[in-house]
Amino acid sequence: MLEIRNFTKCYGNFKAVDNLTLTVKDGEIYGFIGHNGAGKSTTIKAVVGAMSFDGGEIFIDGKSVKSEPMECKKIVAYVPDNPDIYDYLTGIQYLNFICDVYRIGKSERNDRIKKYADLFEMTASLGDLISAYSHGMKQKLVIISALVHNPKLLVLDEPFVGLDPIASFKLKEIMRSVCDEGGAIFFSTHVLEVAEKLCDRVGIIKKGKLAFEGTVKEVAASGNLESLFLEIEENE
Amino acid sequence: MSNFKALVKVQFLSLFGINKRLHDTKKKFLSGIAGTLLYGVIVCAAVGYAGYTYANLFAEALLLNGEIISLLPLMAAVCAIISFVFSFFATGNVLYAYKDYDLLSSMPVRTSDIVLSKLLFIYVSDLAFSIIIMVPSLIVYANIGGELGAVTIIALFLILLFTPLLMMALSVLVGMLTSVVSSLFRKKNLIQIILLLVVMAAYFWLCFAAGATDSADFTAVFKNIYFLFPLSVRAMSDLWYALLFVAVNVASFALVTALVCVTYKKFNSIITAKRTKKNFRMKIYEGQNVFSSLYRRETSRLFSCPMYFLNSIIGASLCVVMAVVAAVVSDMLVKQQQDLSYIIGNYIAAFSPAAFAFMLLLAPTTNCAISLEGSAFWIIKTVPVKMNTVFKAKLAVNYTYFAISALISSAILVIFIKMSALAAVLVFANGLIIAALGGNTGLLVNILLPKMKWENENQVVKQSASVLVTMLSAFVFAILFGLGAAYIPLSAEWLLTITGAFSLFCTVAVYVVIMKKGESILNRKI
Repeated sequence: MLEIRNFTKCYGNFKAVDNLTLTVKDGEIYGFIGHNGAGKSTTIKAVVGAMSFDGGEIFIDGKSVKSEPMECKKIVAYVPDNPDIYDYLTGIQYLNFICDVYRIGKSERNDRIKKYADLFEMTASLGDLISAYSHGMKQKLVIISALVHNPKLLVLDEPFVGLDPIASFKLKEIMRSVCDEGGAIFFSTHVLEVAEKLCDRVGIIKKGKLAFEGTVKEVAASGNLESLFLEIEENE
Repeated sequence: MSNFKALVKVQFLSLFGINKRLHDTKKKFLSGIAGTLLYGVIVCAAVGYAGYTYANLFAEALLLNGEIISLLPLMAAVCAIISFVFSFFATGNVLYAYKDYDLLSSMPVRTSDIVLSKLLFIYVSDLAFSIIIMVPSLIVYANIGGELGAVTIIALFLILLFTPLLMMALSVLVGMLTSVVSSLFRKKNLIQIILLLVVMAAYFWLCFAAGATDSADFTAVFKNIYFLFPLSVRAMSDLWYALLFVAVNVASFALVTALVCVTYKKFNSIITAKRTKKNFRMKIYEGQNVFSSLYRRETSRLFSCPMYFLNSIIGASLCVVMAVVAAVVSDMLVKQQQDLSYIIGNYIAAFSPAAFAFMLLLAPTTNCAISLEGSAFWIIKTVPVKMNTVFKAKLAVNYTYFAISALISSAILVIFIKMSALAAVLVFANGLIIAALGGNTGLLVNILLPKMKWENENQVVKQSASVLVTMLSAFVFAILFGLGAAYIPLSAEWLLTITGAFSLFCTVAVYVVIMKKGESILNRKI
């Protein structure tokens, strides 16, 4: 579903991500872990087309992010680390806007909005301005907007920040069901327990380079994810 | 350092991104400082010129009545009214609902320190405007032989320094009440826009009309409105009255400051409170095409920020006001010399592109439309929509509002001023083309100079480089068209054809650049 090949991104002379290569298969949840500033968000932003990059290629469902950005964006959904959305719209206006740009028809849009808004207990608040939402409610709205167009690839940057325990649980369930239906998930997190329980595979990025990649079983074989992560971080 | 000093320091470091400039690389620092200085020079020149014009107008009336000593107090009255309007706008943005409110109120800082530091910021801005207006007024006063003795100079200094205080106090009071009232509604931005429009309409009425038919009437309007005028006139020759003037201003300011301090926390809670209904029921949503959806989003954005709306609407409104003034002036001239009606009409028609350029290019909605995307720009970048469609939606919103203004203004000119049929058609065409040129120029400038990181919308709408450069382009086009109308010895029809063709060429050229290069330029800039 997602193939990152020799991806390199520089900010001036600083190489934020250096020659990164990884693959997320269909039906797989891939946890992307790293220290603050390791290059996680940079990679994620490049995958979703929010950032240009200097070297390498990124393919989504076989299509290049560089040469076919529109085709890629149609099947990807992105949840950023900070839910900065249009404060001046109401929740339902925002969701309708998202449905319009993803060209979701009348019958589907209503069903899907209702389904996810009910799931995250947001329906009653959809008529209110987003500026009146709490951080968690904004995060839920971003997640709903990411799900309404049935993406094949969900790219999530720290998706559990600000969510209440019930919403976190529901999001984990949704993530698993997206993969069960053949989709894939690429997400970053600092909560190693979540990554360990939820992911099929994890990648640890350190100073812009992939320092470790393996299945959860391989991680378990070497202890646990926390000890592995700390070991990698301490090894210069 | 006392808390008050620390708060003042932090407040002023945020002005025009001074602190950011101080920590930039040398190249960015110099270009930033140059831009800020240029902005300052343009604002000073424009406000100073307005002050000079008003002073001349008043001097004409006062000379006739032998009241030239009243000129400077009268100009202080103008400053007082400007202070009132400026402070009114600042109350909602600077004094209340400021981003650092929660932080400051959680620290061991007295409310009076917070309030005073914010009021000082408003006062200094008011004072700066007053100085820029009073200096050219002083030149006019000296030129017409006004007395400039020691008492006059001391009194003038005191009037200049203390005039903003009372008006600021009144304005803060009104601004505080309107902010509180509008925050009681769910659509508080819309209510605030309406209240601001009422205040602005009153201001324009005061400046342009108020029943004044000549400069003497006009002078009388300001004399009557500024109730401290008689006191300030007496202060010019008697220092005791000057001290009384100071005392009245300081006392009223102290009173309002005390009131603000006492109510600050309560009112801030009311103003920042979120009004939610939580009673939404799903219905069937039809959906729209992408362009319509983007257009609606842009329109919502325009109405979401009172300052953005007013900033954009001023040029379009003034264009209509100016057309009315031109029609009235033309009528007066024609009454005096009936046989010259066509000549006067064609003269006004020939100059109309210059006026259109000045009003419609000054502050299009597009000059900060990209910057206002701010931290939410990730949405547009990640959805499957071509950036050109986003640009087109931004342009379309601008075209809508400015084309309406251009059409109304052209219609007023064509209906009330005698001109040939061809000139009438060309006036309409010029208006519409220049309205489109304004939108395109604003957008291109914003693509070239985007400011995506900001603390509050005012930094983008009022202080960003793209707003300044767009204003400059308005001046350039207006001067160019004005000089053409004044010096090219051609008929109005020919002049209108040339300006129309030139504007159309520029409009199309800018549009093509936006559509072909806009996205790549923007990607490089952000």
